[in-house]
Amino acid sequence: METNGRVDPELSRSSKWVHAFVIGVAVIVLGVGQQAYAYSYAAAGAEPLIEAREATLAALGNQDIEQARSASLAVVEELQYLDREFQKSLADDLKSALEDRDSRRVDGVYLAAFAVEIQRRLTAAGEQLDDYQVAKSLVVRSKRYFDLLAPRMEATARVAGGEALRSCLAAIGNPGVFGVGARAADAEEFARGREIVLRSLGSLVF
Amino acid sequence: MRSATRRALTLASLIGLCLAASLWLWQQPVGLPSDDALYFVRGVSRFSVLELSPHFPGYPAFVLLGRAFSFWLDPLHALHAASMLASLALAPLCFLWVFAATSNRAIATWAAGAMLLQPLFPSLALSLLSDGLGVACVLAYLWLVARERWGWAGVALGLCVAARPSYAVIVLAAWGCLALFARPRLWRVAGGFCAILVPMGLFVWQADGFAYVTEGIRFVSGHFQIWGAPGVASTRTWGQALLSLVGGVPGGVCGAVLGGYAARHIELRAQSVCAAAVCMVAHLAWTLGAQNADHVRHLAPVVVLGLGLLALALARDPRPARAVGVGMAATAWLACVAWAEVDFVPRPPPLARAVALLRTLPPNQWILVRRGVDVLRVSVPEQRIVDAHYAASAAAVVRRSSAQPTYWLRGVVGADSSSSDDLSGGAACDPAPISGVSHPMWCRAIARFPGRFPGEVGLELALVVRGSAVEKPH
Repeated sequence: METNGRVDPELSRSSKWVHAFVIGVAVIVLGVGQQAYAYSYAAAGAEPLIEAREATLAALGNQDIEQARSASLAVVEELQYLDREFQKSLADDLKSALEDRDSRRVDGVYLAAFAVEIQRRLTAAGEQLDDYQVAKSLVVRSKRYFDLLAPRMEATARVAGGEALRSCLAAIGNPGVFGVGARAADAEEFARGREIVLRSLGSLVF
Repeated sequence: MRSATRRALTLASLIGLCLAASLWLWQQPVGLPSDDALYFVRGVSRFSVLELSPHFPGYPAFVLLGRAFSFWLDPLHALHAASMLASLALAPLCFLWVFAATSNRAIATWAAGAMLLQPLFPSLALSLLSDGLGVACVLAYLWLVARERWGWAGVALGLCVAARPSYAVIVLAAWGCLALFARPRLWRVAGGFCAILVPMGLFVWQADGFAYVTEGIRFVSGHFQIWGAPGVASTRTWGQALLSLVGGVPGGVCGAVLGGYAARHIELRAQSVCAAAVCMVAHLAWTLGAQNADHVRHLAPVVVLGLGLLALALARDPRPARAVGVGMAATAWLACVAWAEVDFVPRPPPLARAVALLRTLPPNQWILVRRGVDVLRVSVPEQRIVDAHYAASAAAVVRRSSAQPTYWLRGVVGADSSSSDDLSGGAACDPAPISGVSHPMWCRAIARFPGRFPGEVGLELALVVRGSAVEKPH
């Protein structure tokens, strides 16, 4: 028998509180809840372009053009930045597609912007391989865009691009703890992986 | 009967129970049942929380246990062995706890059997997740507290957090009990706790450095806003989930009566009993408030500790005949609620069965999916896997790919999940909740993959049939 591990006699009174608490929690929670659906862990964390695409397409589906314009307005600056840096015309294309209320073209502009985002982040990561945290975050976040674009690629490009992204992650190395277990970045391996990813984006069909 | 004979009989019963459970478990084909299991498998070969290998917070104790088995097995089978053996350990650990607290060998043996008979046992053993190891650590802690091995109890608590960080509420409750009622032993427990947590923390930190914190903030906010928030990510309420777990309203009444009996007879003044009761209540509150009701395995500590407390109550009942009657009734109740839903034909998990079917389709089919997205991306790369969490984007896919068939793989929980596999006639025709816009799509179920045991979510593969709410296609 458990004889030595005795507790304060007042504890026996707490059993009533334990019972009351269990019943209270059960009553409250059994009555709460609504119908909803599953998830993927990529859903959390702000990616303005992904959220804007979703909100814009939902608004267009509801024939609410004002809502669609408003949803896309949030990313106009980002699109203009991508236009300047990568010689694209994403902002104008999006404006024109919205004016025509053409949801397929709108989707196409967003997907093209996703591809440019991947290019931007992988390029930036390659330039900052000495900063482990920045480089790794950039590659991981570019994978969220890649996963959304992958269904639009041919099967071989999809597989090759996914593997190349994984090789980019491995090429970033590892900081270790106080230098123990550290692994240096491999710039050449990273550049090779980046090229394959960008090549796979060439097979996109919007 | 002589003491040595009784001891031999007890040991033989325990080994027999564990062997019977092991035999059933070994018959089950190994496969990936969920994205979380995939992340753990990745973690065995390459650990990085940022890469979802595994997901936050990293579960280092479970991953390291998987790595230990990976010296002999591939990562998938290593993880399968880890989760299975950790779950099988529940029986001897519960025996040790109940025996240390009561010195009653027969009731301790009954408690061990109850661990294997409880409805969540198959889910703990076959889900390739860390729940089994986490619960085993909780039982080890209670046993060590009952034996007053405070340093080792701290080690068990540390392993519990490292194996299953969402049991942090249990650990906090255990610390609360220690702080209130066993303050002189606190430092010894803290020593054992830190001896585990510090190296485990360093193991997690070496993979990602400060980026781990950023991922932690993202993941925790995602948990409370999306996948852990009650009523946001689940297809049912905890009320429905609990009722399905205990066998409906009649089963619920039986459970309530047994709970009332246990509450009346347990001795809360004993350290380990008090800790078990407080941990159980704290974990129940946390689960009901902040976990996804589609995964009833989150209730495993409540079920296990509840059965342990029932065993302790049986031992303290002044009328032994009544205790025997209650014990038999509880056994019958467990057998009914736990094994009535078990599919005794060995099958891979629903997701693995769905993958096998998708591989037979011609390549480049559009597959909309919300459950097991990453498993499908890895397992059927030849298909176009669309994360239907983005509902409007998924609806856009359906509209644009009018020339090609589009499929919808969705989770089916509760009673629907036990329906027949055979839908070759395309009997079902339900509105698919995929659009999020004013023109919902319709789909026709073509295959169903029911869960194999209580708590396993079934899946249904449907062919999307274009149409609107006005014109339901047939």
